[in-house]
Amino acid sequence: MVVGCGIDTEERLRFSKHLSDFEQSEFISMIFTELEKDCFKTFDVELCVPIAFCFKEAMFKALGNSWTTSGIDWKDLEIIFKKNPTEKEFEIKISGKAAEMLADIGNPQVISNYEFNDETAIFEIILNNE
Amino acid sequence: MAVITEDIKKEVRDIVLDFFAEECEVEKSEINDTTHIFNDLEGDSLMFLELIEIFKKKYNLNIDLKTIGKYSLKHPVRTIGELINMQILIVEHENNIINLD
Repeated sequence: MVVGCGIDTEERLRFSKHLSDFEQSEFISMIFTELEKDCFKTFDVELCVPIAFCFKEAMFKALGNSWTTSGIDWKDLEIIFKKNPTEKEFEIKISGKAAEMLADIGNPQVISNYEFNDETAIFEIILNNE
Repeated sequence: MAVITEDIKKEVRDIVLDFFAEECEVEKSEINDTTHIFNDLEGDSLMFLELIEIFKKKYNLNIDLKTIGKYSLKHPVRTIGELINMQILIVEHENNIINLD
């Protein structure tokens, strides 16, 4: 049974001003963990950041909330790319309040996927309980 | 804790209005305290985060998104006026904003 779903899309261009100085960007550091930042640097920050932002927004929505109405920290939601994002091999890590909220709904399976083109990134999440 | 003067209040207001006027491509004069950020301006999380970044840099603030998120749970921000008030409190109290009623 589907207990939650969330989808988010963003224009990739909107992130470009935060990527020119990726290492020092306050914006990037507010949202992403050091693990995520290291991962993004390994591959392609211009692609990883929009996808990862969409992932977090989609997860907020799947849990029925936004970050200002849930108490979930952006860093409670991590996405680690195992290969270049074009390969779509990634791991999702959920902690803190988000993990508690998932536990409250029976720790559903997190089914996730993303797509992107030159202009946009989109991430979808379905929370499914057997 | 910073002392909030009338000049700082005006500065915060101007930063917020200038930001949304530019981002949402509307005249600054069209934005007031009752303007709904999401319904009227089509604002979104990304804008909200960018605005927080601007204030963190300008006032060298020690404020975490986690704190703002928890504060917003009790004090939802939907209008420009509510956002300005929250930003003033953040400038004044930084992470201690969470201890306010």
